Amino acid sequence: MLGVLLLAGMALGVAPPDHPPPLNVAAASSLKPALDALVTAYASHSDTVPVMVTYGATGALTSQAQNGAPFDLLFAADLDFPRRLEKAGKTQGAPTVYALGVLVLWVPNESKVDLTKGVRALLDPSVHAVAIGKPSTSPYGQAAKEAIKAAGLDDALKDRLVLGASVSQAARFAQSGNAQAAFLPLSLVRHEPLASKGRFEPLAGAAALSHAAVILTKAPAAKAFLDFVLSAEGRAVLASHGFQPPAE
Amino acid sequence: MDLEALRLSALLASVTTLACLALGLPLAWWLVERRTRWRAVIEALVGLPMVLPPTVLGFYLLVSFGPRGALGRVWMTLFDRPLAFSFSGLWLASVITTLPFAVQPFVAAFAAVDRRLIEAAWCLGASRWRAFWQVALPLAAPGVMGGAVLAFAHTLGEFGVVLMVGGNIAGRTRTLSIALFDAVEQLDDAAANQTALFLLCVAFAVLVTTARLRPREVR
Repeated sequence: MLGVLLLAGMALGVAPPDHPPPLNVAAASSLKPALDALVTAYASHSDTVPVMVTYGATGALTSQAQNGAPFDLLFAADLDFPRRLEKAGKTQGAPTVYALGVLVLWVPNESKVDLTKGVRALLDPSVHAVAIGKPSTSPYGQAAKEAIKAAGLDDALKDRLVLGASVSQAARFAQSGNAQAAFLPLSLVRHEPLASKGRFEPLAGAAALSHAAVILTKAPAAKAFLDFVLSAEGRAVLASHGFQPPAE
Repeated sequence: MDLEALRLSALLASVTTLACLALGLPLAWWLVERRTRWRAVIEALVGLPMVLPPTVLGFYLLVSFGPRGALGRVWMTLFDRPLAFSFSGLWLASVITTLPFAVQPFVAAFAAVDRRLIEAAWCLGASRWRAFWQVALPLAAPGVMGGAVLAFAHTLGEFGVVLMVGGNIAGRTRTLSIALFDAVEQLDDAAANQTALFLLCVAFAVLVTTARLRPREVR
C-alpha cells in the first residue's frame, strides 16, 4: 500500500521533460459549453499548450485570483470584476471585452407559466422557487436581481429567490426541478441538459452583459489563447453558443 | 456577524439534536440489545454519512427532493409546497448527516452499561420500557449527553450538504457556515473573521464538554 502511494507520488512529482507548462484559465461558469469547445478547437492547432480550465462564479474566481490562485487568464462574465483586478495591480494590461452575454428566463417544459409576461410570469402561484446566481459573485445573478427590481417585483419575489453559488448551480436547481424557474445565461440554456428540459425567453429591455478577459501572468500562452478566442474562429464558436460579438 | 444566520444555525442545530435523540436513542439501544445479523448492515447504513463526501449526499438529496423524486412528490402532495430550499428540507438533510455522530456515542454509552443491572431490573419485574428509562438511560447519561452535544456542534458546522440543497436563503437556509463562505468569497475578511472565530470557540467548547462527559473507564 505504502509502495503504491510512493509510486503515485513519484508519478505526480516528476513532470515529463520538454513539455511546456499548461495554461491555467479561470472562467465564469456560464462559459462552460462555449469554452470547452474553444479549448478543443485550440488543441487542434499546432504549437499550442494544453489549456486547463477552472469554472466558477466570476466573483469567486476574482477573489481567488486576488489571493494568489495560479491562474494565467480570467474569462469573466462581466467587466467590473476584471477591472477590480486591474486596479489591484494583479493584471498584465487592461481587460478585453470578448463577448456579450444574454440573460434569459427559463422554465421547465411542464411549467404552465406564460413566459411572454416576462418577470411578471414569476408571480404565478405554481412558482415556489426562482433560481438565480448569487448576486454578489455571479454577474448573471446580479443582472437577474436588477431585472426583478426594474419590474418592481423585489418584495413580491423576495421569498422565492434561491441563490446558487454560481449561475451553473442555479441551472442545476432548475434542471433538477427543485426551482420552478430560473434566470440563466443564454449560453447555458441552449445546451444540454437544459435545452430539452425547458423553454426560455430573453428578457425584454435587459442590456447584454459585457464579458471581459484579463491576463494575470506573463505566461506567453495566455496572450496566445486570448488572441485565439478573439480571432474569427474563436468568435464563431462563441456565436454558435449564444454569445453576441462585442461592440467595436 | 450575520445574526439572522446565527439564529437559524442555532435553531437548526437544536431541532436536529432533538430529532437525533428521538431517533438515535431507540436505534442505539436496539443495536446494543438485539444481536441480529442485520446489525452490521443497519450500523453501516446509519454510519454512511460519516464517511461519504457531503457532495454525494447533497446530490442524492437534491434529486430526491425534486418533483421527479419520491420524497419530493410525497411532500408536495402532503403540504402543497416543495421540500427543497425550505427549513424542513434542511432539517431533514441535517438529521441524516448528523445521526451517525449521535448514534455512535449512544451505542458506546449503552454498551458500557453493566448488563447484569438491566437483567436484574427485568428479574425484579420491570418492563423492558421501564428498564430502559430507569436503569439503562440514567447509567448511559454522560455518553448520551456527549452524543447530543456532538450532534449540535456537527449541525452548526455542516456545510457541503447545506450548500448543495439549501439555496442560500436568508432566514431560511443561510446558516453560519454558508454566511462565512459568502464572506470569504466577497473578500469580507472582517465578517469572515468574526464568524470563523465564533465557530472555532463553539467547537472547542464542545470538545472540552464531551471530554468531561466521557465515562472514566474509557478515558
